Amino acid sequence: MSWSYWHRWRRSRSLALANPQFAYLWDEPCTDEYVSLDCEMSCLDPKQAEILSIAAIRIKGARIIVSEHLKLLVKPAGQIDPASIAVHGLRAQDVQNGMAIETALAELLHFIGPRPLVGYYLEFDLAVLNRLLKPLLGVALPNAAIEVSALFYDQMVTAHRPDVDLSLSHILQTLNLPDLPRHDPLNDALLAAMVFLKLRCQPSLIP
Amino acid sequence: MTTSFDFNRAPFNSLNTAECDRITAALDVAYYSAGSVIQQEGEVVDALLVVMKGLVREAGEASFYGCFDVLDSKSLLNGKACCTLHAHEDTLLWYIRRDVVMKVSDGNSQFAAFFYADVARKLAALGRPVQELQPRVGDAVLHMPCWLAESATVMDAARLMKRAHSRAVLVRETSGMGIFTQSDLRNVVVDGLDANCEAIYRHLKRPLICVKCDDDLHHAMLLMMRHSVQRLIVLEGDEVCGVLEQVELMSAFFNNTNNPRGITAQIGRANCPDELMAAVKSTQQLIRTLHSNGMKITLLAELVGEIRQRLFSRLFTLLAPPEMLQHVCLLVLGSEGRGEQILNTDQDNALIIEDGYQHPDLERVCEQFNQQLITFGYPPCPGLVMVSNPQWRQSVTGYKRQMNIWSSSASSENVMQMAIWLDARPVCGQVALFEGLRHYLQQDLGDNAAFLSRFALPVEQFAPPINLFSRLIATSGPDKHALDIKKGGIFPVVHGLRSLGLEYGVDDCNSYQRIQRLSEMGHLSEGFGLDLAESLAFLQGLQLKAGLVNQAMDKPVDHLIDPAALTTLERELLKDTLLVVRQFRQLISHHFKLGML
Repeated sequence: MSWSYWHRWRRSRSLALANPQFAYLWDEPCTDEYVSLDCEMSCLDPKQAEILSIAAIRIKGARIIVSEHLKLLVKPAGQIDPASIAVHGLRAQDVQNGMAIETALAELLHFIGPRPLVGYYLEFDLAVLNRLLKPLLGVALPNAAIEVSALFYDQMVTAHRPDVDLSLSHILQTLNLPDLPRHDPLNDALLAAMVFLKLRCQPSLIP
Repeated sequence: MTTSFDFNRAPFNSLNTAECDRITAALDVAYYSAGSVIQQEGEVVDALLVVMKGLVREAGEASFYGCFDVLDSKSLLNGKACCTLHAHEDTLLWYIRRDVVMKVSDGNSQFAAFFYADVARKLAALGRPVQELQPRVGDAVLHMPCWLAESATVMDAARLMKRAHSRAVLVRETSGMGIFTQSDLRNVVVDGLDANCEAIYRHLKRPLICVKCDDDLHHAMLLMMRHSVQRLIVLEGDEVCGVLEQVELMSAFFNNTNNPRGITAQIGRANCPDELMAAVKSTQQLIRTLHSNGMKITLLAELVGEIRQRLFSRLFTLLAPPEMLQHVCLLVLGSEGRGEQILNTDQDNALIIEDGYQHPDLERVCEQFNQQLITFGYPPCPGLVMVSNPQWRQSVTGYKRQMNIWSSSASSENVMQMAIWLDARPVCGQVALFEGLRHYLQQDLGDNAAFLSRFALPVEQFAPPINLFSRLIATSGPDKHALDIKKGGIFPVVHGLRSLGLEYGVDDCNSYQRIQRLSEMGHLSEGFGLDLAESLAFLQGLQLKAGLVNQAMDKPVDHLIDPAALTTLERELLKDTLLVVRQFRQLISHHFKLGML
């Protein structure tokens, strides 16, 4: 489809927006800017999960602007699945002083703007985010989403090797990237950003 | 944020926790694929770049930067990139925002110094941490104990005191030890006793008040006050190793160090070579104390050089018959001549004999001189540059002939012998003999370009132990983990300066004076001269530090440095100084057109 058609379509979607203050999400994104995103959830069911913390880092060209990152702690309405606490380390009392999810989402949308989103297993995060954004936005996030494990898969898969290990540690090891303590959403977002920058050299893979 | 940024590396290890937090908050990450440009020369620099992973190459240079190297730190001050950088491999960088780095360095001069472009200013700002050392009894000048037999008379004691310039004598009795002092002698006289037949043991004071060599000097002072005595017996283990007089105690306090004037006085008082040993020992102590008190290496070398010159002079005077000194001139050569030797490495000395002068004892005196120096802890010169070797004990005409040989064919052996000679310093005897020969040598060499090139060539002999990647190369020593800073660092500088000095007729043989004179004459730029001097001083400082460690373990003094044993800061500075050495080597090579040889 042609660029102008695409543009018109985006415009029309923004007009259908429940809350026009978020119209900027449909702006034309700056070239070479992305946002790496990671969330910690209260459980692993996308229909139930609540967000406990969100981290987002902007990527500008070759640089990952870690120093201006966004990191939000959210107070969930329900219980945190004890099994997930072991993974992310966030207990009920840790998120006690977190913000309301509506405020957090507004801040997040402001931070990401129209930039494409980057993440590792972003699908799950986006599923939860879109579920929660529905009442606020009326529609799902219009931002393009780049799944770094998919980029990795596309580059690694061959007829001789149809199975690709998509674990983050394997990806980091293969790409010769440094590992950081995991399940801190900021570190996870940083790792995804590094994987993205390293794999971006295949221009065909980037929307 | 949880980062893997390593604050234990220089220069970040000079930061306190709050400063670390500020830096952490300003960390960004960047990724460059192999071959891409990280920065272009002249570009605005908005961050300090540190390699997280990968390898970065500086364009036009053979410099590479690896993990945790700081890139182009000098450009941070003026905010403009000084060089173009490429990612040689896929590279991840930490970016630390410039405004934050500048703010942190405002409050932390040690951290700030890292970004100074010139090595001299850097070293000056980083300085040496001055340790406050408590002075020890062993650091004070101690008098040699004078022993008398129990059967001696008061007159014997008086004579010994006179001969030994001592104010007290010690007597070992079956029941212990006693001391007889000048004031006891006065009392004997006042009492009208006959000193010739008065037995000394009647007048001894006992028991002796003793301190240990490694006791605090303050403790010694307390003892003197408590017992109202003016001297203490100093013990090393159970043995008496000296006598501490009140005067020396006070002067040790005021200097907070061993007293160099005390040592020269000690040298002057010596009546036989063995008595000089005490001065040699005090000098070693002086070096340790002054070094640990943070005295600048060049001053230390100068001071020690001065003391040692007196020692050599005194030793030769004691060995030679008095009339001989009118006809000969004793020289120290090499690093001793330049006044840059601090620890006793090996001896380099020579003797000039007036034409036609002969003395039957001359050879024996020279042999004894070298032997005695060996007992003092100066190992013999492996190249036999010693007065006991007839080649280095020649008449004026003999040396002139020698110089003609040196300058006619610049074989590597001739070059090194002449280089040794060029650093000669007269120590005692007829200095005019030396002046004449120096003039003779200078006459036809200053403008002999071909000879000068051959002379400068050894500068190329040992490359600085730093590789194209700006990493230190450690391939020396028994386990190949060390680097030889004499060969790769000090020698190229010293010899390069010697060559320039020879060409431009610089009389001084001390390297720092040569640098200064060459700068004044416009043959070295002032800034580079400063860098060179500071680099040389830093290298000599490392050499001394390693030498003292070896000495403490009774190992021979070598010039091997284990990079792993250095602090991070020392390692960074060593890299900086070796780069200055490399630059100087290139300058010499270009100046003397060594590439054409």
